[in-house]
Amino acid sequence: MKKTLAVLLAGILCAGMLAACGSSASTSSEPSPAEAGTAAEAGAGEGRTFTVGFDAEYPPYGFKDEGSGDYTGFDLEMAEELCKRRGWTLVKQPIDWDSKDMELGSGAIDCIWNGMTFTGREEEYTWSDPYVDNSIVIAVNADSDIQTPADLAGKIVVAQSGSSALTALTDDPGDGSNDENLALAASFGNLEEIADYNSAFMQMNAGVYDAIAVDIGVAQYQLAANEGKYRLLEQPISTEQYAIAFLKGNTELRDQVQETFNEMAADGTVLKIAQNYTDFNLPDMLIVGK
Amino acid sequence: MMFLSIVRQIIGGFGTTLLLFFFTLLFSMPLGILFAVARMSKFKPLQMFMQVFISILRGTPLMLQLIVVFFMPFYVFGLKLSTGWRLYAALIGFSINYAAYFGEIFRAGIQAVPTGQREAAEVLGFTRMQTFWRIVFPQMVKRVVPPVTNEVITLVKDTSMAFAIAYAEMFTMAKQVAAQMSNILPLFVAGIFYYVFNIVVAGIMGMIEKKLDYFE
Repeated sequence: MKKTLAVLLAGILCAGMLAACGSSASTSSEPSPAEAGTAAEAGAGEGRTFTVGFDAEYPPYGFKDEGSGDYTGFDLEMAEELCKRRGWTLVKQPIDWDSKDMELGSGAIDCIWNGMTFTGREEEYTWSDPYVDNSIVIAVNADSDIQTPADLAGKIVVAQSGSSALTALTDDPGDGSNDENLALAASFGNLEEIADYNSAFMQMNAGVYDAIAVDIGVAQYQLAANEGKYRLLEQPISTEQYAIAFLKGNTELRDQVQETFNEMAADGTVLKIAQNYTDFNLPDMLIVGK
Repeated sequence: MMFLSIVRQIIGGFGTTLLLFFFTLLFSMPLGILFAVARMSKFKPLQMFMQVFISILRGTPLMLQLIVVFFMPFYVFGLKLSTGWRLYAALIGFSINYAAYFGEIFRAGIQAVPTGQREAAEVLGFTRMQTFWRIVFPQMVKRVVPPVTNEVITLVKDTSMAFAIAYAEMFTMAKQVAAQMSNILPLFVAGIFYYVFNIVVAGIMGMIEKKLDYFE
């Protein structure tokens, strides 16, 4: 009796492992970004899946909708429209932001479309044309005595790890172009990293941090959701642009996406989607289709 | 109202956590017995190999093991990864890791059975298989229930690590809801889910322990 049970369990185990292997094998037959990019498969675009990697804790660009529970956001709505026009099947894949390069490099996702900062990362990915002008700002508690970046001296500042705000404060291109921000960062008591901005705001509210370096769109989402708790310093620490990132060298997929994106910009669809996010200032930040 | 909305959204992720939990248990327990038997093998190379293998599984972060399992088909064999692979990779990573711990617990349980019983079985003409399954195994099961309960409860909470390979389980959902609402409450609601689930798990394991306690 026990023996039969053990054999049965072992059988299930083997079946499970086989099923797992089978699925990974069948995966290889699906069109993938690298194949689509290298093999001449321009015509094979119809009906393919288009997997967008995004950070689901990054409103308003990608987040979980309260009503439907689906993932939505400015960038994901644009991806939906783009896939509809191209006849592609959209897969919205929330990812661990720190693993984004591995996800993209292994072909697990086709692109990163999630308020992805183009400025300063030009050489690392194959990019679409930039579509949003973003600023990196400093958010502080409403009752804080910090008024200008100079007041941040000796304070504890936090930014999301792998974020453009962190890059802006730590990147040293060696040509002096970022010296001002590096000097600013050096004046901080400490520059800390955190996994997501939502925790950063909660912790600042609780007194752990004095200030947060953050993209203006995200900052405005937090300000709108917690009225009167936080405010922004007037002077942004840097300005940058957002674009869609593809695996370096995957120009074929980029060109297909860019073509449809340009159509969407030209007929006003991009602006229309941005207007769903007026609370976050997105229509003003848009640099195409206006 | 907000609370209900949070609960409704987190329940959506509870299924994925449950799936991961249930199948990890299903695969890692028999695999653990295999590990234990191989670890005690009289064939030295196999025994040494298992010793090193288990030592690596216990000595490196589970999160790293998940990443290795998920990305290996691409970086080592050049296979393309799909979204469906995330669940399988998580199951394989969790199952092998937990099998290492279960294997050591089972080994302790097996070795706790006095040698005299094995010798007696041999004298009575039992084969080695019969000795293991009819005499050693039932006694091992009785003894390992408390430490296994520990591991099972840890597994419930460890499922939250699956997001390292972007498998969106319950805690990931809770974090996403927290970001959407810009509120810390969803994390506590998730905590309640884990706690209630663990009370149920501990209760079931307690019942099993009582039921197996047939000599007391």
